[in-house]
Amino acid sequence: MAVFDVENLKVGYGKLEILHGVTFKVEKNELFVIVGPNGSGKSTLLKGLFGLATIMGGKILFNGEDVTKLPPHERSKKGLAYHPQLNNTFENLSVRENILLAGYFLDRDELERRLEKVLEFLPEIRGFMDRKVRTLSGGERQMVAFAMNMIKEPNTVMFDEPTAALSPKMADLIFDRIVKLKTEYGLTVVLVEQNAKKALELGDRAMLLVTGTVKFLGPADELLTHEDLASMYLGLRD
Amino acid sequence: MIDPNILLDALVYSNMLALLSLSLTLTIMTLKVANFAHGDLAIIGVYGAYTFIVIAGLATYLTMPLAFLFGGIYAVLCYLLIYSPLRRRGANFVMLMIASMAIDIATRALLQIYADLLKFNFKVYSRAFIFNDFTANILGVQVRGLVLVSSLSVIALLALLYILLMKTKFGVAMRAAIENPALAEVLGINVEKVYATSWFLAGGFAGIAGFFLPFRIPTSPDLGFIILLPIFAASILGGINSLSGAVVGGYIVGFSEILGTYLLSQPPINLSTAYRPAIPFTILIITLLLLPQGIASLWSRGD
Ligand SMILES: Nc1ncnc2c1ncn2[C@@H]1O[C@H](COP(=O)(O)OP(=O)(O)OP(=O)(O)O)[C@@H](O)[C@H]1O
Ligand SMILES: [Mg+2]
Repeated sequence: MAVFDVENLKVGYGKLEILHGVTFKVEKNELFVIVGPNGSGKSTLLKGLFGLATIMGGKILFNGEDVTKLPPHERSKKGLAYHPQLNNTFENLSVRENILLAGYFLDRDELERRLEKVLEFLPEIRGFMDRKVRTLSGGERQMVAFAMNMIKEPNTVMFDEPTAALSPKMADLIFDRIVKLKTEYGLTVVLVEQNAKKALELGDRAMLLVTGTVKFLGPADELLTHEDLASMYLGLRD
Repeated sequence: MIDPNILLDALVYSNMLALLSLSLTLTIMTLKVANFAHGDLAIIGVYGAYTFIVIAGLATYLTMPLAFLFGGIYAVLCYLLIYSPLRRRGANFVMLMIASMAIDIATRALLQIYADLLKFNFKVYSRAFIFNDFTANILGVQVRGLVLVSSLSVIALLALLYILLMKTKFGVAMRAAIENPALAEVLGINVEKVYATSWFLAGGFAGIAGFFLPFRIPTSPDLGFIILLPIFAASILGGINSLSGAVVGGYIVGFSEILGTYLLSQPPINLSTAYRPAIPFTILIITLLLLPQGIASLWSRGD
């Protein structure tokens, strides 16, 4: 059974339709990459999958269950996590408080146990646990948002441009952990990335979105080396 | 040398103002509304307490928790029945502000009706009433009870609010929901419940402040509107979005208003006290010219 089985999905804001019928599947334990030009609707798709944008048509099955009409926190309970492109942490709270909030419904012992695991996975965070997020660098903030999702022990994580505006070194570190989610923890990952080359190299399968429609769906390396699409939409060429 | 009684009166007035500007700021931070009915919450609180004093014969200071309760409940009702539904339907800042003006007018009308009911049914003063105070003898100095009670109340309430916000899980959720309600919602936090709680606390704090009013001045249904301007001045002075700023703003406005009026009315100036309301605003304007982000920017910059 596919983790996501999305059929003719139409998503928008209010009355404005942005995605005009998108159909794809994400298989269990794969790294599914979504690329496309700015404004093509990548973030909107993730918001739709998480229940944060208006669904105007179509259907979303998550692990075989119809979640099309469920609010975000219900989807979250089913093991889906979402790492937003912007505003993904509370600036005025400390890192510890941010993580505590993400585990709001856990009891103290369980939270401690999970926090230990998360800190093993993202040990860098130990160095700034008690600082306010607004004093952190972009990469450190992404790690905090990452940790906030991991505390929920999800089975599927959707990342929206987690490496945007990061140094290449920091971006590599984030990519490294994302790949680990898949290889070491057996999670399913949906990754929206501006850095198409890197993401397609790491990904299993990929989807190219252009102005709200699917232009390509298939193996990631096929898109990476695709003669027209790669250069036309992703600024890639050999 | 300033008469110590004037200083103590300034302290009492500032205690009251600090509670009111703090609670106003709390509502502004949650709902982003300039609540013109905030002063009325104080009056709701004091009328609730007064009712139990004159009808049930309770000792004055024993009714203080009732003032908290009445103010708090009325604030929650305003939030749940009016502000929150308006907000969900996409009302903007101006619409919410106009709604709050309507609530202010309606609340004062309700209080007028209530005052009439009290008067006709129980034959008690229901307008321009005052509370009698006790005096305490501290190391040979006679001090009004209100000086002690209002100061201790402010200290206790601020400590409780601090512990709630900084040391409890619910407080972290409150700060989170204030900063980024959308993200808090994504994390599964019931933002509506958090906001309603904030409004209850804000109404309660205002109710306590209202309870102190009749010790200083005769209290009537319209007083909530009259005290609104210094409350806003204190909150804006504090930077609008800072609880600590609002408290400090309350003391600056309170002390400058009382001491300023007093000094200007003394020889050789002999100015009429009618200028009293101008003082907090002069201070407000000067502060904002020097510190456009309010005084809280002095201690909460970057960090
Ligand atoms: N909240 C919103 N309300 C209305 N329109 C929106 C909203 N968010 C995004 N849009 C519009 O939807 C379209 C797709 O935006 P989206 O953020 O999904 O693009 P994207 O592919 O993620 O782009 P980027 O690579 O720049 O992040 C854009 O035209 C954008 O203007
Ligand atoms: Mg985007």
